Amino acid sequence: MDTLATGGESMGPVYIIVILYMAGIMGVGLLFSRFARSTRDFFLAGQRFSWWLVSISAVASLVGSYSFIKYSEAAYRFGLSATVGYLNDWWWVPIWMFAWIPFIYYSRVTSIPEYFEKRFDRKTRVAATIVLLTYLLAYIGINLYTLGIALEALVGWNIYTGVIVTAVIVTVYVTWGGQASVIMTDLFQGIMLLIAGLTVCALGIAYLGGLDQLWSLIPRGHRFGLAPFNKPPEFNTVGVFWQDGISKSAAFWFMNQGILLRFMAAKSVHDARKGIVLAVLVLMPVAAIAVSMPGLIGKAMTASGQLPGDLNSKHVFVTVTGLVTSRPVFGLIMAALVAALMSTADTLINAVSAVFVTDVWKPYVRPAASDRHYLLAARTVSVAAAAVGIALVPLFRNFGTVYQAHGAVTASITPPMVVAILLGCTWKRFTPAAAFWTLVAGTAALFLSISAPALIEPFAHGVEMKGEGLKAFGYMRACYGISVSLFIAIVVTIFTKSRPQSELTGLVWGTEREAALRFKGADTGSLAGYDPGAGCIKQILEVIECREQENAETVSISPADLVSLSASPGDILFCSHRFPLYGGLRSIRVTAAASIDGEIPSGCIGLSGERMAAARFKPGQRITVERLL
Amino acid sequence: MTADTSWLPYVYVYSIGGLLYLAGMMIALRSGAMNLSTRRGRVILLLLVGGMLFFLAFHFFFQFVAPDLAPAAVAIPRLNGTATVFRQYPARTSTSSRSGFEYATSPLPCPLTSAVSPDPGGEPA
Repeated sequence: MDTLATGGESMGPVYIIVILYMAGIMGVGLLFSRFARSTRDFFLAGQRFSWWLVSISAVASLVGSYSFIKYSEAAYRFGLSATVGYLNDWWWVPIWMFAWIPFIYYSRVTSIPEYFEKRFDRKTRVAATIVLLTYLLAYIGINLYTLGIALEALVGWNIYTGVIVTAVIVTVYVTWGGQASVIMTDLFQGIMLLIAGLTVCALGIAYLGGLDQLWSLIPRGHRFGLAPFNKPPEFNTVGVFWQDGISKSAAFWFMNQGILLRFMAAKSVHDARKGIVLAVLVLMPVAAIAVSMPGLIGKAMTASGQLPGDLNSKHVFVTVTGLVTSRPVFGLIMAALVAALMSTADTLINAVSAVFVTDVWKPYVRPAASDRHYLLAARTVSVAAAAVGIALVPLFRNFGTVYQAHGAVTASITPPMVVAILLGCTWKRFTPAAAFWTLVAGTAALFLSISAPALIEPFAHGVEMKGEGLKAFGYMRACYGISVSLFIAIVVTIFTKSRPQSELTGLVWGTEREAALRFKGADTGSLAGYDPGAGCIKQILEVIECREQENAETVSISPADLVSLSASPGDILFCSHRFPLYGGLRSIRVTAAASIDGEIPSGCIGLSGERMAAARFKPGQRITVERLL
Repeated sequence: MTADTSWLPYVYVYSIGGLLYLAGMMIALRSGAMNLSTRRGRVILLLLVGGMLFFLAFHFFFQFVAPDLAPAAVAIPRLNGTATVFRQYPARTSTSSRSGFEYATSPLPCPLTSAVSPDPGGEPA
């Protein structure tokens, strides 16, 4: 096995930096574990984070395990079109922002199957749980496998050694920290990996002598933004579009529990929307450059003779990095790579525990247990999920590449779920029976296509079959799965009865106002002033002093301050530390309570000791208060 | 990929993707979730439309303009004789299982100072 160990230079400093970095990340995770005091904190971090923090954290998970290695390899082999995987999500954004996020957020669900029960029925929730857990566990397995590959290349560890070591580290801080730990560690990791990728790009371009040289040295076929339509089978526009742009993107943004939990941890729907725009419009294009450009630089170096023509494309990122950086910088960048690898794994492990506790343990095993019990169950499941992921690694080793394994999982599992989610939130007529059969029959059709790949041919757009079983027709199984699932959904809907419109209020598009009302508490006031187009109303008001209060869930505030906030008793207020870069970490959302004149003087706010402790406020501290809803 | 064939991926991707985008925009507008009577609503609309145009323009540029943009000839960067460069990759040593890269501080063994064709590789297989 070729590793980065060199003949002339010691790799000791690199290893030390990587190990220190991993230990540091674990420390950050444990540091923020004190913010997880309940299952809601564990999964949703108290719904208090700012848009920018949520967005960076989500992109850190996106630019996860395989990205640097996979996209650099793809760029090296196929050119600039490798970036398309990060640039083909925008068409989902309007649906995501307006037909999905508000209803998930306001319905207070902590898992996708929970939404399925509200929108459809219990048996559909069970089917969705099975599909989702299968997807997430397989995804964890792939991510841990990729971790093993990276560490094997980097330090020469056996794949299983790398898998187990990193799984233990990730599980420790996810298990004890929950979502707050995941978000905060991902924030640091996200910043690190973007800096690392862009540093390699800048140094690589400088090494080549500038952008002109880079562009001139890469083959013309590598300069296109999109690959050829249906050739070669390994990388073509139509295949990548259906597998990545449609199936994987929808699965990632709509179905991936880990990503969804990120945006549900935002302090408001409006913040979640802003986070989405930042992620897709700004961070992902930047990340596309960071993860792909080293491959193009490697191609240029190969063309110029600075790297050998028979370079192993899997090693191109590490090779280019090793060539253009000094040893300490190389160590830091490799640490960032390992951080990226861990970032996706932690998200998925946290997501599995959320789905299992919410959709299996709570409804079927221990329906009325204490919150402490569910928190313990969530932590136990996090450990179990990591163990299952490790156990799946041998399965994925059978695939030729990580890209193939990832594509096979995406194309074979996600299409029915993607169709059910999309129609569920955008088509009021879509029936519970149709959703159930879309999941069951759609999954069956996909498994059937594994043994009978010829079924995919009518949907293959001329892509060559090449291979058998899961490998046949490459990415076009996604097109087949989406088409078949859509057909089942429409046909069954036509012949079955849909739920009354009144039962769908707050669950499908066009009912955001009602969803917000339900979220706020139907009896606690109206939504006067709530503008769904603008997200939640925010008015930054005067800084006020905190005091102790008996009722833990409400905040006492003077009538004059309520007026200045444009708020009424029953409104949801957001109290946060004045320093904005906390990003909501030191904050709390509470319900405004009617106060007796004079009890709370103007300019002051009364919070219970419990709430103050949760937000880490101190008596006498001046904070920012804003009206959310 | 020729100028003729490069249209097909572009049109295909943005036709189907565009339908999804338009469906989402219709939902946002018809549901009242994007209220254009407010400044924030108009900003969101601007971002959504601008974002789509950005990606359309990006792929248009790299599909139809950029592939043929290149200087006539490029001098490969000249490296100093003392620069640390790869001499052989990957290289194995007989004494260590962790063999890999081998570095040298000697002058480059390959002719890196000559001009090369702006399109040395041609199209991928």
